[in-house]
Amino acid sequence: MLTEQVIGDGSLTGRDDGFSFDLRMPWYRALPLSSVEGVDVRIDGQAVPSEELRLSLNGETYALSDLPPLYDDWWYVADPATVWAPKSGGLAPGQHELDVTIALRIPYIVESGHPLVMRERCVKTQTTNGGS
Amino acid sequence: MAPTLPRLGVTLYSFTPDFHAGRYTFEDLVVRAAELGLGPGLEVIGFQSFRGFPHVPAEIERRFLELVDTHGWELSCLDANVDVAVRADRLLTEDEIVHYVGAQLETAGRLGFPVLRIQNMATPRVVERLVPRAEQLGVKLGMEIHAPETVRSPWVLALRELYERLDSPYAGFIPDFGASTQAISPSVYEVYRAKGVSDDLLAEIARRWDELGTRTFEAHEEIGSFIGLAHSMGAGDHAVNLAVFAVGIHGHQAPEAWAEIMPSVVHVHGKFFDIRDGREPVVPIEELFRVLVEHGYTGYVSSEYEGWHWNTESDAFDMVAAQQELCRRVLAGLAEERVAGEVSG
Repeated sequence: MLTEQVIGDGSLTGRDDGFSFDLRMPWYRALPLSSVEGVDVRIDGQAVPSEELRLSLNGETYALSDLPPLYDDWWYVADPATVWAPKSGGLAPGQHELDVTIALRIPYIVESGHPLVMRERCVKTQTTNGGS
Repeated sequence: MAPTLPRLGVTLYSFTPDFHAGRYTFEDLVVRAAELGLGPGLEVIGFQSFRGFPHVPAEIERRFLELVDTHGWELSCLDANVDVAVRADRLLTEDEIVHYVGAQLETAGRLGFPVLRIQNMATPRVVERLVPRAEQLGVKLGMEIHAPETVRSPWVLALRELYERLDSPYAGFIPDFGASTQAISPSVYEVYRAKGVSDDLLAEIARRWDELGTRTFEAHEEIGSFIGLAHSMGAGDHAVNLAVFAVGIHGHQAPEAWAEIMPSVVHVHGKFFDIRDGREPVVPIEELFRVLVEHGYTGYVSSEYEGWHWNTESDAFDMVAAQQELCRRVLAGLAEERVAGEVSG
């Protein structure tokens, strides 16, 4: 659902130690941060280890492993989170293919005790913003 | 005298892609839908429209109610979510669910919504525990019955039993018209054919959908089986969506079946997917309204456009306007029939 906006248009920003981009929730309503079951990022075909990703939202910065207990901290549906991904040598200015998959637990769809986990994948080729 | 009829309205869920893409803010949607005359009933999803829900800051609340007032809206329904799986480590306990939904009920009462939509993860015991507060607040609890569930689904039967025992006007149901479709919307086939899904697979999906209408089934099992079918026939990344659209939002229940629960209906979701030549290709709008009118239902029918899941071309505002034109035409016809019936009877 709403997969197109998972990667924010024009948000890919290169730095000399990595890159960042805006991540939107592919769902129609706010969910708690504990609903984020995983984020996979590939840049130009190369996977970034998930434990190295950092997600910034509501003025806080989290590792993915920080999220599961945060069932009372909300990701509002209209807000982009900023994802920071380290990359040795940085991201050269120019065009890059960004491939992002996010897994969200849908907290009101539960079958036989197992909540539904939605996986949405978005791939966009973007030209980096200036960066520093 | 002209018979009293259901009232029309809209749920802002119909405009989800416009909102999600940032083309309209929540307040923009309230204004735009009013300008297009899509009221008078206004339904919103708490967790979609209000940042921080169920806590709505006083200033946001004041501005929202001012817009409602200025634009002649009548609040019809606030949609709660029964998020039993908010925690990553376990499901919420009954006490926690009552508390979680109770907070949303309080917000409905404070904002002045007459109905709170609830979902089937709320057990009869949870509903029963919420009813006294709903009565105090004057907010009716409406359990949504959404495809592929029906008025005879076991959990619905359990609630019907509870409702009979409670005999409270504050415990009811919200039928979703999508539970009573005649086929999968033709626009689904058109869109996925254009994406390269084979005619053979689409024909097999149609055949299996028809077959589902002949028996009872478990939604998640059938979604799994449709995913398997779609994968085996080369649908790739489209398999999950095709399965969910086929099994999860196109139900088989006969329109007349809603009659069984009509005395408990507190709100209606006028789900639709498409309007072509003034008709909804698969949702039998006239038959559905006929059941409502025959049972004297005078609450709201919220137009709920959901074709946006696959149709990314059409304008959702145009769609809702066209569906409401159809609804008004159908209601006028039904009203005439009733007047004629009263005269001759």
